[in-house]
Amino acid sequence: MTKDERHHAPSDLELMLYFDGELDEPRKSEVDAFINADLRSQNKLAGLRINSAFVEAQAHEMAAGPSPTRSPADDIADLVLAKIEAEGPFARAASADPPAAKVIPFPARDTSKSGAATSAKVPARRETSGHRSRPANENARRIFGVAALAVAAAAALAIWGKQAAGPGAPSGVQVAQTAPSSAPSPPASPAPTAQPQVDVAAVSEGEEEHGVEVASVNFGAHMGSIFYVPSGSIEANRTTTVVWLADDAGE
Amino acid sequence: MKPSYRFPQLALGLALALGAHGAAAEATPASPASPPAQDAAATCVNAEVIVLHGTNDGTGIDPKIGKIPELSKPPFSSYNSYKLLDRPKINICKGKEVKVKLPNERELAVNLKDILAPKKKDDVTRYVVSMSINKPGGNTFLPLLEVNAKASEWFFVAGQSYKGGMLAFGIKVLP
Repeated sequence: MTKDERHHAPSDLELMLYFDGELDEPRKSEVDAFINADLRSQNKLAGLRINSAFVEAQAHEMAAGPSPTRSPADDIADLVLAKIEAEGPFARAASADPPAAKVIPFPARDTSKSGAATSAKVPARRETSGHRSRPANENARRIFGVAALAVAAAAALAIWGKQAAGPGAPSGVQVAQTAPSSAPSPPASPAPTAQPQVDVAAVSEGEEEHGVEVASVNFGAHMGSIFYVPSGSIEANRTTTVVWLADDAGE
Repeated sequence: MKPSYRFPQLALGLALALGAHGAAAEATPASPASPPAQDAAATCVNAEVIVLHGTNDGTGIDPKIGKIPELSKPPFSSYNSYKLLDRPKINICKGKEVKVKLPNERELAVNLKDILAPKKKDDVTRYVVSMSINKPGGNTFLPLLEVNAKASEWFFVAGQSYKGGMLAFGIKVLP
C-alpha cells in the first residue's frame, strides 16, 4: 500500500464505522492518522458525537417515562387513523342514515338470477350496475358489417370476373390468339362428353379483330380448338381462323 | 368587360363547341349509308370451298391448292403434305341451306344467316355463316359452327380423320 493510498480521505461511511468502532485494521489506523491531520473530518466526527448524545438522552428519557416500552413514533399510525375517522367522509356517511342500496359482502354471490355458480366479482358487477354491461367493443356490429360488405364485394368481383372471362368455355376448347410454334400433332383424342354451345364472341371480346370471327360453336360430343393462325406479315397483323376438331378414327 | 363575366362566357362557348362536335360525330356514320343498303338488300353470296387431305407422306403441299401459307404453320404443320381433293363453288342464301358432300361420306351444311353492315367508318361488311357436319345416317358430328366472315378471307375447319391423315376444308366468301 502506497503512502497516498494510506492517507486518502475516508468516506462518510468509513467515518461512521470509525466512530462506532467497527472499522477494521489497517484502515482504522489510516483513518485515525487522516483525521488527526484533517479539520473537516474532525468536524464530522464532532457532529456524530452530538447526534449520538442527543439520541442517547432521548432514550434515557423514554426509559424513565410512564411508558418505557413505547416511543412517541409508535403512536403515529393510531393518531392518523383517529384523525381520519373524526374528520373524513366516512365519518359523515357513518353518521347519516344507511343507504337503501343492497350491499353484497365479498365473496358472497347472488344466484337468484343466474342460478349458476359464478365468480365472486361477476355478481357484484351485475348488482351494482343494475343492467347488463355494455360490450367492451362497441364497434363490433360496425366492424362485422364492414367485413360482411367486403366479403360480398369480393364474391361479386370474383363472379363478375369469371363471367367477363367468358361463359365458361368447356374443357377442350382452346381459344388461341396465335397458333403454337409446335404443332398439336395430332390433337389429343377426346373423351366423348357433351359440349355445350359456346358463345365465342363473348370469350374473344376485347381481343383484336380477326378476318373471320367465330361467333358460336357447338362441338357436340367431341372436343375442339380454335386457332388464329398468323397470315401475312407481322405488320399486317392478320390471322386466319382455324377450327380444329377432334375425331377419333373417323367415327 | 368585367373579368367576372369572362369565365361564364368561356364555359358557355366551350359547351357549345363540345355539343357541336358531338353532333357532328354522331352524324358521321350516316355517310356510308349506301354500301350497307346495298349489302342489306342482298340475300345470297357466293363462296368457295376447298377440301384438303393432310398426310405425312412427304409429298409436300399440292400446287393446285394455291398460296395458302397457313398450311405451313401450326396447327396445319402437324402434317407435312396437303393434297387438294375438291374445290366447289357454292351460292349460299339466307334461310337456304347448301349441302356439300365431303370425301369421308359426311355432309357439310352451310347457311347464310345474316349480313352485317359495317358499324364503324372503316369497318367492312361481315357475313354470318353457319354450318354443321353430319354423319351418314343423320347423326351430327359438328352440331354448329357460326362465323362472322369478311369477304375474301379463308377460314378452315380441320381435324377429321380420313385415310390415315386428316381432312380439312376451307370456306371463303366471295365479294
